[in-house]
Amino acid sequence: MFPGVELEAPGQKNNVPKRYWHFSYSHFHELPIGWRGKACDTVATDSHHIRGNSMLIEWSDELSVGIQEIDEQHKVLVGLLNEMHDAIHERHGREASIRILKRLSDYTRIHFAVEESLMRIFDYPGYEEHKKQHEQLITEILDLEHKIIDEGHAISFQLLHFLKMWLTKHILESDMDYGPFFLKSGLKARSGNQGWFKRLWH
Amino acid sequence: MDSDALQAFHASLDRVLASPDFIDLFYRNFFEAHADVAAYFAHTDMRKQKRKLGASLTILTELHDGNPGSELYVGYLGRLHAGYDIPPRMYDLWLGALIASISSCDEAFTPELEALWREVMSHGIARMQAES
Repeated sequence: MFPGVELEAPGQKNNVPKRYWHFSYSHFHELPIGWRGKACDTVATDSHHIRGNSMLIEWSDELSVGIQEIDEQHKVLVGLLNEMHDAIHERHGREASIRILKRLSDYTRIHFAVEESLMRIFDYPGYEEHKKQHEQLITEILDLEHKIIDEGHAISFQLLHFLKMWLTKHILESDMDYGPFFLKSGLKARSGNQGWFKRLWH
Repeated sequence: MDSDALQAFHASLDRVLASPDFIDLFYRNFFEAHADVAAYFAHTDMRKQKRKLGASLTILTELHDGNPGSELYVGYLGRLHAGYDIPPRMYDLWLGALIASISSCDEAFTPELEALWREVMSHGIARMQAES
């Protein structure tokens, strides 16, 4: 019924019927609605095992802001989330997932600094609002790092999907606004072999 | 909420989001609900704000449905809104304006549907307010 990822839960402690222990992330919506949250709790990855694989986020033009170098940075963030997804699926261990989370956190701060620099250079009218969102997003990821590293929380299915929403919603609902503005202000859509990001950061 | 009720709610959400008048009507109702509301949007780009309404209704619905990550994400939205010092009564006005707008834009609106909308939205609002 739910091809793809096979999920092994050690008990029925969350009252998710056994037939729903085997499902694919991509078939999540086939689960009876009331059991979805329980199924998520059931797949906390430190004590349960997941077999199989599928990409958490597939890059598509829908996520493109129309500026090559920004898209490349967004692809790095998408890639890190997919890497964390793979690490959990393939049971690379908690430390491997934590290393990816730290890279995600570090790269996010670099990426946000780049976006904010461009906003200041081009006098983007939504700068203050966007910066406030960045600050809250960074607070969220630092808080997650603290909970996971210092307090021993698991890197769970819920957390992974939160990070997916955290990234894709920010791109789709906020970053999309600055693309046309930057282009209109003179930023080139394609930057060639030696783009401004490489010149600034390498 | 049983599966029939849930299906009825989702059908209403689809009709509302497809209505070309819904978003403008909602903000008109919200701004008219109390003189203080406009002050919270004094520096807001309303074109962008209007685009966010559909996304907000969707994420609150996903929370109610138990979709993965939505609990943490609505918590994040709550912390984001906490930075704007929004008093609890503003959420009540928001919900009142929402119900009034849905009743105008959803041709199949009934008191039963209103109760479902209130249940789903109140769940999300409570989650957000828990972070303030």
